[in-house]
Amino acid sequence: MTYRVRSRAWDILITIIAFNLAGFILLAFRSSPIDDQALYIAVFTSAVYAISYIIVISFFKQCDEYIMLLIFALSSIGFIMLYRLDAQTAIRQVQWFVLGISVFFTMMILSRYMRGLDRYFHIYAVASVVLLLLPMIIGTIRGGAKNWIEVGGYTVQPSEFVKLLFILATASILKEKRSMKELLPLMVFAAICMVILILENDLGAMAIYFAVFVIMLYVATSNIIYVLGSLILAGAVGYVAYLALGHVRIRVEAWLNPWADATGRGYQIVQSLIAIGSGGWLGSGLGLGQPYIIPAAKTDFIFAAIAEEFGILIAVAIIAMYFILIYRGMKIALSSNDPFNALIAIGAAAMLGFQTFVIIGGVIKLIPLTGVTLPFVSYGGSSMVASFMLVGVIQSTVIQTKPSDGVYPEKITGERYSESY
Amino acid sequence: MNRIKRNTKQVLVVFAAVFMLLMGYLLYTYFFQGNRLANSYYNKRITQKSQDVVWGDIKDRNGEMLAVSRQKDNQWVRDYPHGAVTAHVVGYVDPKLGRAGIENSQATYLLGLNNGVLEQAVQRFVFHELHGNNVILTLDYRLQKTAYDALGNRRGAVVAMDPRTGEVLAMVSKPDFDPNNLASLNDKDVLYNKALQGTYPPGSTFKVVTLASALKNIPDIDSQTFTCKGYINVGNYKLSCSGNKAHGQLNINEALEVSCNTTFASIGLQLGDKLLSQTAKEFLFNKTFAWDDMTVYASNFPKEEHITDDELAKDAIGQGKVTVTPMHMAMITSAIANDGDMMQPRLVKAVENSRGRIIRRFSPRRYAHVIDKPIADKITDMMVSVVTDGTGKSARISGVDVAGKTGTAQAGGQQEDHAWFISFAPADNPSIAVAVIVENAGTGGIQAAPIARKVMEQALRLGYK
Repeated sequence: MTYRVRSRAWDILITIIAFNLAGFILLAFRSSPIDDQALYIAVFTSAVYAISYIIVISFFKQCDEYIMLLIFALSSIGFIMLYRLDAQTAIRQVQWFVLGISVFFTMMILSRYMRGLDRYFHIYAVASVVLLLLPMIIGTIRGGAKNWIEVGGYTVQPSEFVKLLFILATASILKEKRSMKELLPLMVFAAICMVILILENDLGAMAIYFAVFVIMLYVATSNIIYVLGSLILAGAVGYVAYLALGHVRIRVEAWLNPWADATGRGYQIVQSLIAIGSGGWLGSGLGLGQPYIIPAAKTDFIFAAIAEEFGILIAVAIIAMYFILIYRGMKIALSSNDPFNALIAIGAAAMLGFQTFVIIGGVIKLIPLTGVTLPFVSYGGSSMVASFMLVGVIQSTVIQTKPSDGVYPEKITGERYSESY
Repeated sequence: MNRIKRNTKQVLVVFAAVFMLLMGYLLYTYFFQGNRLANSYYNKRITQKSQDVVWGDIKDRNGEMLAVSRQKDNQWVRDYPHGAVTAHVVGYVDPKLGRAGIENSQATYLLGLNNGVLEQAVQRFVFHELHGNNVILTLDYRLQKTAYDALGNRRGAVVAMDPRTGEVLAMVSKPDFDPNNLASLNDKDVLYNKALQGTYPPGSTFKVVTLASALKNIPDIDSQTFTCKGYINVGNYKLSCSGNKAHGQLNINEALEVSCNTTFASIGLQLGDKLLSQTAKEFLFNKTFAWDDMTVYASNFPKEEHITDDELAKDAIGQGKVTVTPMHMAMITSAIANDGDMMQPRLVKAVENSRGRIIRRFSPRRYAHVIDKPIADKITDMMVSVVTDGTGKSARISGVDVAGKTGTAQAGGQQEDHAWFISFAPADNPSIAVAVIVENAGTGGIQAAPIARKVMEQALRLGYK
């Protein structure tokens, strides 16, 4: 049985690599003479996928290899789309991917030796707040939000890295404390984070942090009152922000009726919807559409660009892939016997899931648009590395739940496979 | 731990629901709005593509060319062989004025934007030139020309459609313009397609809606007798019949024949604001029709909570705040002709590729069931007597039963009334429905009915049966 399962996963890997190669070969033939750079990238990224996969199944057997396969599939679509839009951006994205997966493996190795990560709430909290404050002090403004800093020639978005710290801090408290009094420091910490993000105008990140916080609070305490209280508070804050802050109102109005100002405030969303409508069920075909018309096609709106050239069906499949990613992440949480580990796995999975919802929802006009990245697909180093860190923390909990007798929990070897097929 | 696991499962269910919502909304957006989005005025792909693709032709249902691309000094230019006659339907592509009509709404087909990879490859490597697809309209040029000539130099609109299929056979708006010579255009108002976007008070043509409501909601309406003194007092408002003429004792059939205002005002009051606005809603008033091949502005019927009695009396005879587009009036007429089923009006019959092979065919679609067949039959009978014995005599065609209703709508101020006529023929098995409005022309029976007759005669002569 194990053999069959492995071979099935191998099939998926081979399919992903075939897709990756096919996409880049198609792009290589767009120009004459043939663009051999595209071929090099195709071979290189395929090799990275294969080697990473072999490392995972050889040295980190407890890990969920399907999560890795999903990341490969998503990043491959991202690489191809970015290369189609701008070759240099795609090359940098591949570099970020390699950096990200290296960080991932480093975390996996360290997690074998690290214990007691749940004892450092104060360190996480202080580090989070300091990192979030950095852009206000030494930051640069990009796309209306002041959430970037420059480090050695690169621009870094600290709020991406705080995601992991925020989850660790929240889980450290929630793993055992339940009463209002015990939770107070956590509430204060979370409130400070939200306020800083609002001041930096990073509403997308704020929404994601808030949602993850409420989810973790509910999972840990089962207290629906906390959830309702938080939602009411969020509604009140949101309403006040709508009334008081001009840019929030603009976004909401651009969402409700983008066509009223299709060349101004509604421009991004109108162009995104037009791209989605122009592609068709099967897309215009790679290289045959005009996704470069979409504003911010390489970052926030990459989903619209993919929908145009790859088609609505692939776009729907991508949404499904993200859901499976979250599902497998939460499944790891379900198999954990340690509250702290379960909470960080849930928090990280929810973080990835809610971020995906916020950006895809914004791009298809289901919710107001806030600029966040599509994990593993949008261009961005901070986002790529931070997304790998979230997956890393999910996967490392499996290693930490390894019992002392060396026998892995039952679900890892048996149930999971029988359920999958 | 068990509580954490239970809660985690709940969170997972919520995520599943949220992601289903994402997928559902994406599919919904594409399925219901994709075409309109792609054809949007703001779609820069169309402007970019038009530089390296030859626009497809637009033809009428019999293959008559309405818009063609031809080569002039090594450049492709757009030519409209029938110029002003089909101007509002076919539309135009102009660097300054943008796009309109079929040239706008079907741009993705005309440019082949949704052609498959294979078709694009064939064109690129076999023909070495990219051609868009041809759009075949439901329009019949011969009938279009008849309607165009019949309306002449007067301002107004004519819509003719097949009530059984919703196929628009003719659509004219005046004043018109020459799409081959947009540069010399002085007045941009002529670009505006009154058939779809002009909202006018319907006058007495609205009485068919009031009548439908009465037949449905007042059981003994057939046996009621009304007395017309030439006017009726509603509160402080005095509503009078045309020329203050007293019609005396009449039943509802006779009231429609002579278009008696006082009778229909009193029927409106008998029905009350709730029932009348309910019927207006069933006839799709207050609804903007946004279809892939046309956008029809919303007709208006006042919201029920704001209707006072004197307003209700005015609304019941199509004055007051009621307004309607000529296309909507043609749809209402067609619904009565088609046993109460309102078909979605359509301008595009099919799309063929540049080698003449049909790649997409559009089929008739029932849009709404507005009244039941027995009521539709009764209204038809009464509309026949309007033409045989009543105000619509000038729409009579020998040997054919014509059903019609006149309208003479106050245009406000010192302006001459708008003349309306709605009709269909043959009454027992209708194949053509026509709505005509002539702005500020006077009486509907005198000004508009002959135009409708010419269009119906021509349609029957052309073999629409």
